[in-house]
Amino acid sequence: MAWRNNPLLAIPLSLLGAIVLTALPLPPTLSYWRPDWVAMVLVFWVLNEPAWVGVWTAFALGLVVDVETVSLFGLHPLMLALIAYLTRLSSRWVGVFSIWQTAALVFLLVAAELLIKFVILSAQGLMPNLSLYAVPAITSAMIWPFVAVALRRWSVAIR
Amino acid sequence: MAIQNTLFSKTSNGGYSLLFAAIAAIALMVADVHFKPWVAPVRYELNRVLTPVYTVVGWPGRFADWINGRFRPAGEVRDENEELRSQLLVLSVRVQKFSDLVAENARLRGLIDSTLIMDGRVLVAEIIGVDPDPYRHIVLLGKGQDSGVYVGQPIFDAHGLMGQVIEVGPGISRAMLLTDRQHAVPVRINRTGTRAVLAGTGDVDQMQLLYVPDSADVKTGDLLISSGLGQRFPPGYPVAVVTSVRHSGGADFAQITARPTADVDRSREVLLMFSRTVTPSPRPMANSGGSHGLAQ
Repeated sequence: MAWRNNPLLAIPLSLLGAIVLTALPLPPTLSYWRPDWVAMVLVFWVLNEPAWVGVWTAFALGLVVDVETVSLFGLHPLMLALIAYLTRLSSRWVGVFSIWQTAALVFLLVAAELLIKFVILSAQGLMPNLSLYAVPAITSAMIWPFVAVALRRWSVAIR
Repeated sequence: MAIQNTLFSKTSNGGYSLLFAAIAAIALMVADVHFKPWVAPVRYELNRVLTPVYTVVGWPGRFADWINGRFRPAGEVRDENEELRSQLLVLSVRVQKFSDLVAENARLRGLIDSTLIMDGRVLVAEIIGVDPDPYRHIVLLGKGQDSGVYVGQPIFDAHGLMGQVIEVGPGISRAMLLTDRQHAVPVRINRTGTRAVLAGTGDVDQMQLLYVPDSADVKTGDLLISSGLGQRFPPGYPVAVVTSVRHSGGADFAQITARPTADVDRSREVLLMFSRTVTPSPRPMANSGGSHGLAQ
């Protein structure tokens, strides 16, 4: 792979951006609507650069997110590794996705992630309030087309 | 590129990777619950790596403060200044009396052989960020181990107890607020002296007073102060005000809700308190037994 073609700059920068957006303070009412930035960027790179980003990248990323969000250590590695795996699996089955198909995929993946989180939090005795719990899956899917297009243009531009 | 990958399977699906990753993640979770001392250094170092991220995350708040400071009419600033001056005067007069009371308190406690927890140094820390998870009440503070912050340290704002430090990083720390569902404070009802436990519910202005007998004397408006039991929080600081008392016939305990006195969700700065214990001077007269029970 030629040096100017590798995404070694774009991947860490975009993941860093997602990590910052994850912790950015929002007003309490808005924070229920915060899309899952890290999962979206991860899905993007697993779809577009499967040789560089996979389960173990997701695992390492999860460790960082755990520390950032003061979660149980190992929760996000589990969720993100599963996301990376399912994304790769589904891209194998289907081949090339349209942007709308990937939006649906993002919805399902974030929903799966929330389900795992729900199970683990419940096991900890911290069952979350259900009324707005699934909202991040919807907002992530809604914002995904913009994220995907922006990331594609940007990653080509800085290459 | 994606087509190429489907035709020439140069990367595997990663089924085994997922299996190993899942096992490793579950092992980490178990370790985090049962072997905390092993995991803590890893978290500490990752916090160090994340320091620049925390700086960036703090920018919007700082920018808002800067805007607020810049674009305020001079008259408003002058008024505020005057008000603060008079407040300062009132407070300093009170402090004069206070030092006398502290000395007297120490002397009296010396008589009953109890240790006095004095309020030592305080440190002002800025709240940089809040936990992105809206279901939890954890804030990120701009002071860390290099300033001597330690796990379990109580934090306050101008109106009362706010919470405690739960994790310390190199230049940052995290504090759990009183209102988090995992948090509880031992308190005393100021009017009657009844002891109880005040637990967070995850709601910013609603907490629950636990284990108060249905027959106990509690009224709406009662002030709850920290009792100091458990030796984590210094005694005597305002914590919450009772907002409702419900007696349900047949239940052992009354259902009591309270609102924290501190501005849990609005404060931009908090005080970290370093308490120090003062062991009393030897008692003048020898007195045995009993008094220890009193000191508790």
